[in-house]
Amino acid sequence: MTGNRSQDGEDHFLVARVVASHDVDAFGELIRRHQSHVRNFMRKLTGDVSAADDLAQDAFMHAWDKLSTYSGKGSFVGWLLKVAYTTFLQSKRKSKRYTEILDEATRQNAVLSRGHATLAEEAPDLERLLAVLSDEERAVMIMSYSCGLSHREIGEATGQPVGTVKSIIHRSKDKIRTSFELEDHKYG
Amino acid sequence: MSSKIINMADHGKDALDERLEQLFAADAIADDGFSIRVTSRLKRRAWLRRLILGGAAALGAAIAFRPTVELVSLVSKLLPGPVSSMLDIPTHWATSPQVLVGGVLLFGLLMFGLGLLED
Repeated sequence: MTGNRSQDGEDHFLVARVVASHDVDAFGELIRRHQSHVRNFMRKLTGDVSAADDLAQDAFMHAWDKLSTYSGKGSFVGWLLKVAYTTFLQSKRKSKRYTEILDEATRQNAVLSRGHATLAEEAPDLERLLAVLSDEERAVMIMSYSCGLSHREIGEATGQPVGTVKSIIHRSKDKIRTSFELEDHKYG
Repeated sequence: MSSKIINMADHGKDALDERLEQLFAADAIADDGFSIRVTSRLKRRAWLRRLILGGAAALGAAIAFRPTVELVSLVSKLLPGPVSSMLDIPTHWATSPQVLVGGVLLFGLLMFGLGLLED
């Protein structure tokens, strides 16, 4: 997250304490500072509160294991979301439960396609809107619009070049426009 | 607290961006013991790792004890008299209470040492 240098500085100090002396309390402080971002990210990505919180816990466990790989370049929350996204993708490959959630999202998507709701008439809730996007598009859109990461930070988190991130955002917005029959003069 | 969107300066913000910002805006989630659950899980995992390492070391020592004693006895027979008597370990030592208590103490020390290493 850009803009908050003092928070970044405090994060770096806490990270240094954790890496140097395996200080669980310092890591606890890092969790307290960033749990909201990670849990919000997971909730929007999965659409399931309980699964999201389990995944967020796993993400922080992975973050503990990999903390020494954080170079200090870029924001800590950006790095944390990278770990969270990787955790999500790994869990998706393994978990039957996630497949069920994904199937449910696909069903919702199918209903949406048939109904062609109009955003102006019937404001879609976020879950319905995200259901028309792929996992990667959803993750990028959440990082951008919900977590406030810059395109560069999203690129670092997802392992994509900045140009690709921009095109994913553009494509996702097009999908949303099309799925909800948005008119250009109303929503860009 | 709502998420602060500041990245949209990366490109021109349009009406859909503003609508999406509203939709994506999320209230901060209260910790409600989340961080404590994660740190407790970390501490449990550290203890489990310590226990497994200690257990594996103890099991390895138990398996290696008898062959080692036999090997030392065999070697001692090949050595000159005074050295041989020093190395001549009776095999019944393995089951004596002193050795068992010593083993348990050693295991405790090993666990303590692993704990210090991790901290």
